[in-house]
Amino acid sequence: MLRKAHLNLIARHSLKHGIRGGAGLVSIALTLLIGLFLAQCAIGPLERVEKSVDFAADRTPGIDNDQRNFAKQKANDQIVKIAVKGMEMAMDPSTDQLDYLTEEKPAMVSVMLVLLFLATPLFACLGGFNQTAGDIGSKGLRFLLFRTERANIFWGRFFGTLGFTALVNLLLFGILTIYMVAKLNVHPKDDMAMWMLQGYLRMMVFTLPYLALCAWISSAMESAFGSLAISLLVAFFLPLFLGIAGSFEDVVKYAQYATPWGWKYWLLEPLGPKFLGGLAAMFGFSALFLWLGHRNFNRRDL
Amino acid sequence: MGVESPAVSIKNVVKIFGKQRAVDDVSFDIPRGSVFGLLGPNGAGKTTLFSIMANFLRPSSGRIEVLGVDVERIGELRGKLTILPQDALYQANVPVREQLEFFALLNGMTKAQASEETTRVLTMVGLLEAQKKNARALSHGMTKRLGIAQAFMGNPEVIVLDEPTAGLDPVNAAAVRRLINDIKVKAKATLIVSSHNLAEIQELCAAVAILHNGKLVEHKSVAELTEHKGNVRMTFGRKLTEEEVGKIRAQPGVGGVNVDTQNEYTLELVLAQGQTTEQLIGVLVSELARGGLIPRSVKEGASLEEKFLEATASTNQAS
Repeated sequence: MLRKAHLNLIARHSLKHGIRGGAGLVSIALTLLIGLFLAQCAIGPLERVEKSVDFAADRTPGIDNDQRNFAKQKANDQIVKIAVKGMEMAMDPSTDQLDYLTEEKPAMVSVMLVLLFLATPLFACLGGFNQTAGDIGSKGLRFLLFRTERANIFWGRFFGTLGFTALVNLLLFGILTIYMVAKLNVHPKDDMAMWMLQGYLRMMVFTLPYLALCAWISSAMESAFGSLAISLLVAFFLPLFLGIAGSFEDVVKYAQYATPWGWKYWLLEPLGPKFLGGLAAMFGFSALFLWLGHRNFNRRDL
Repeated sequence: MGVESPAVSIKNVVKIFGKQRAVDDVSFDIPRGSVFGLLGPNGAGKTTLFSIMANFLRPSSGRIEVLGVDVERIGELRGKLTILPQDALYQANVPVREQLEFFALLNGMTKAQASEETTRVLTMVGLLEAQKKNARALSHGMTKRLGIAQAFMGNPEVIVLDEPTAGLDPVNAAAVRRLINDIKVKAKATLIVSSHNLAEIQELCAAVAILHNGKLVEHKSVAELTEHKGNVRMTFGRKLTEEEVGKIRAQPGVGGVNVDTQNEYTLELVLAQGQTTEQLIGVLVSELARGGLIPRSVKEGASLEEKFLEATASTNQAS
């Protein structure tokens, strides 16, 4: 039986001590490091080209500010075009989706979101691998098992981990938004901030099934390291393999739809049936993994 | 009015790990308000049985009821059943006080009650000064006392202590025994204790069950189990030499001498016609005292250890 008070208590305790044994700190550090690196891949060329234009303009007599800004704009447009081309190759979007991501929304933010989506399963695994496995191994759960029902422990830990991951991702998106708004001149600042906020929410929806998958794997293991290894293998390396193999073989490409990975770019569609389909897929996978995890945790020896 | 259910009722419990039957069709009841000992050599199934009792492990078949409630519905026993699990680790980087308050909140207490109760149990086990320390900073003895503190939070009706003195030095072990004895007097709870220290169990418990190879081989009151009209148990202040043991053996009315522990000896008595055990013991003690051997204590009956070895040996032979 689920008890709201117990769920709340366990989730808050889990969130507060999410950095259990230092694993949480490693998760925060790696998420920020990888996230900022990926963002730099998108933003870096723009910064460098602006610096180059400034450098050239400073050494060319008779250039006024308007001409300098015009030159920057032209150079930035070229970079954006190259970035969008890269994004097209990575996600193979429909014309509608491409227009949505590059015309309706700030294109450079879209490019960055696509890059961050590629790393989402990795971030989810880093934050969610040790929901229960470590405490099953150390038998630490035994202090809770006669004080509350197993369901409260499983779901409480899951919600605590979800909160922890949401905060880490919020920190990443916060840093990126502030940086882009302060530094980038290619899009209106309000548009960039708003699309980043939406991107954060969409990425959290994509994170959900992976955290659920980690909850299931974690409930089946007795070692935090084992749980991390299996989670990474199933959640990150398998889709990566399918993604690479899919570019050579269509059948493999469609096999991706058996995992949340295949549906990820549906979350970057304009609001409409396809976007809703993406949401349904993510919630469906989450429900399936959580049900399997809950069932396993409820039946097993702890 | 219906009959009050026993504190714990174990019904045909079987637990199989792979091919091994860790608990093999065990059934017995533990009455309310008693102090009960669960004995058995390593691997006998004691911890497995306790783990099923606390819902850590699922039985392969059979069931356990605590206070009339099937442990499958453990939520209904919240605050009534507590356990000191063996080898369970606390969250290493969380302060002791915070962990206990968290347990108390799960037991259904308010924040103020949890804080008050935490102070009470930490004082009880002498850990109040360590309340801000992380669990990883505690010594083995302190960790054991922390385990006892969490087991005695609130007003539990059934308290299970799985080897509460295991791995402790004699000073800490004696302190833990004192704690249990104090609680035994003050609380009306049912205490279930497992230990390898049979003298400890004999001191603490009113009744015991002995497990061996997963099977129940004995279930009796300690008095009943150690009652043996033809035996007397003597404790001396030191280990006796072979020569001294020989002197005892040579006394009239002594059929044999068994060495229980370093200082404890069980004498098999051979009563003369019309002689009572009390008379023979009187004669023996005065004879031994004359020879300079003054026992510190003399108890009629066999030691629990002797009975334990007897019970486990007979099943070894049977199997």
